[in-house]
Amino acid sequence: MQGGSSGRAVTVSALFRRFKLAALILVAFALMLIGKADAVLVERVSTTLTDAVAPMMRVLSRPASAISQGLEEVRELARLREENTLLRAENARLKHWQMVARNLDAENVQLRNLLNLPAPPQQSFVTARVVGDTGGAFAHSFLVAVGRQQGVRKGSAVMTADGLIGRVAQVGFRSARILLITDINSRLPVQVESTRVRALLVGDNTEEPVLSFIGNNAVIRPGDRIVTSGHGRAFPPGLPVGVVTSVDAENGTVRMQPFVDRNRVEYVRIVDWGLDGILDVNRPAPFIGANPPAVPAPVSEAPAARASPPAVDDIPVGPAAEDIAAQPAEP
Amino acid sequence: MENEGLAARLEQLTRHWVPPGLVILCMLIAVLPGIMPYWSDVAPALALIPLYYWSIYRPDLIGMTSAFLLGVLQDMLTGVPLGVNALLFVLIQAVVSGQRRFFLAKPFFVAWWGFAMVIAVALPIKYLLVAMLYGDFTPLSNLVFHMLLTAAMFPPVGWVCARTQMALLQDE
Repeated sequence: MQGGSSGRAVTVSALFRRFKLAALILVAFALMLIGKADAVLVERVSTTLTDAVAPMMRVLSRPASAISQGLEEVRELARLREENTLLRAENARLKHWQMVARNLDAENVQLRNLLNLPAPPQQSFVTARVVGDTGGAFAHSFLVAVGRQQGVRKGSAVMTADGLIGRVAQVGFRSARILLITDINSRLPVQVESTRVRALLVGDNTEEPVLSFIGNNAVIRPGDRIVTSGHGRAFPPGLPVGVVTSVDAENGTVRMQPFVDRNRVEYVRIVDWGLDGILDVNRPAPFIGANPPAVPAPVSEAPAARASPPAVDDIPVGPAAEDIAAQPAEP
Repeated sequence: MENEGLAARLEQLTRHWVPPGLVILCMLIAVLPGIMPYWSDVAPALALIPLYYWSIYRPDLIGMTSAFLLGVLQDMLTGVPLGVNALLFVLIQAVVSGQRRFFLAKPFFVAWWGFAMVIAVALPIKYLLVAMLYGDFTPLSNLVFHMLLTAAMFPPVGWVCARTQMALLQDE
């Protein structure tokens, strides 16, 4: 009799367990759907969490950073002499470039005055230590321990001394998530520095993202420097991004090595040029049925940023077009 | 007397927080930057190790609901689509705790082999789910290295779990 009742209890418990498992699986799938449908809500919850763990990550990352710094120092000691020679040569070269840059800068100011061109947008920046390198094999993003409190805005460019590394995809009060240009969700309008050939830099979670939407007759060669094009008004034009490493003539795949090695990044500079561009969440959605943009929409958004209405109505407006419009009418 | 009761309850509460705490600590360590070169490309799913361990030895301390919540936490921390790790953690907890009798009182290598089997199924599921939600496949080579590194990390992390269990939870 007792055995029967305990057997029944086991069956009920097993049934309850199965029901709970099924319910949790359903909730997990529901979360996946919510994540797709309401990215703003998910982002809000997610940034609250990163805000909570950012101080912990900051503390934990200090010993890790000390260990990696120690290893780096040992490695550097071994090739100190060789590096010194290289640095001397580089210094001589850079001095020459500094002279050229100063001349060009002065000339640029004069020409701008002649043409009555407005000055490029002013920048403000926040320097932040990387406290988390998240995602592993599935995503390429950084966590930094600065947020709205320090004036960080969603969509700001994230740079190091070498060049652009990504943009701010989520901002919490004291933490922010940076979507790297190598992430599978990253799309960045770029151009070849020398020829001004435009392209879209598409991340694919490899160390070398792909250049897509290149014009039919455009010629791109390995070694070409890639910079931002300024389209979409997300970033100003000319920020260094990377260098073309391979051009596959058969399938037309062009790959690029970013200037920034993400494995060596400790600090980043979050730069705000005051450009709202495609990430302006307050901008009204485009009128349905409006004329399509003149060029194929070059920018699609990361899931985190997908929440903002894609303002495709004025994506092609680059600084050049804007500057022309800003000129006074002829007398 | 009342104070002693309160202290005992507090101690018990702390002990019960140790297993999920270890999972969270592993989550945080896995996303620390610059531990070693190229770590971030293939960073192991460290949190799966304590989850697997406690699912065998103390499933009462990390149940299905706790596993689900820890998975949500992992999703938010790593920035992968919400729900993916939640699903994975629940499935691992349910399957492993269901088969725990097989692993109890078996040598360490059996537990390691079991873990390798679990991730050989679980991580490809995660890969497919992420691909489905992104609409694109991430590099397969990263997944393979991610799986190998996760399996390779089992002995040290498993050892920490075992020591923790012996130090804090054995007398329960």
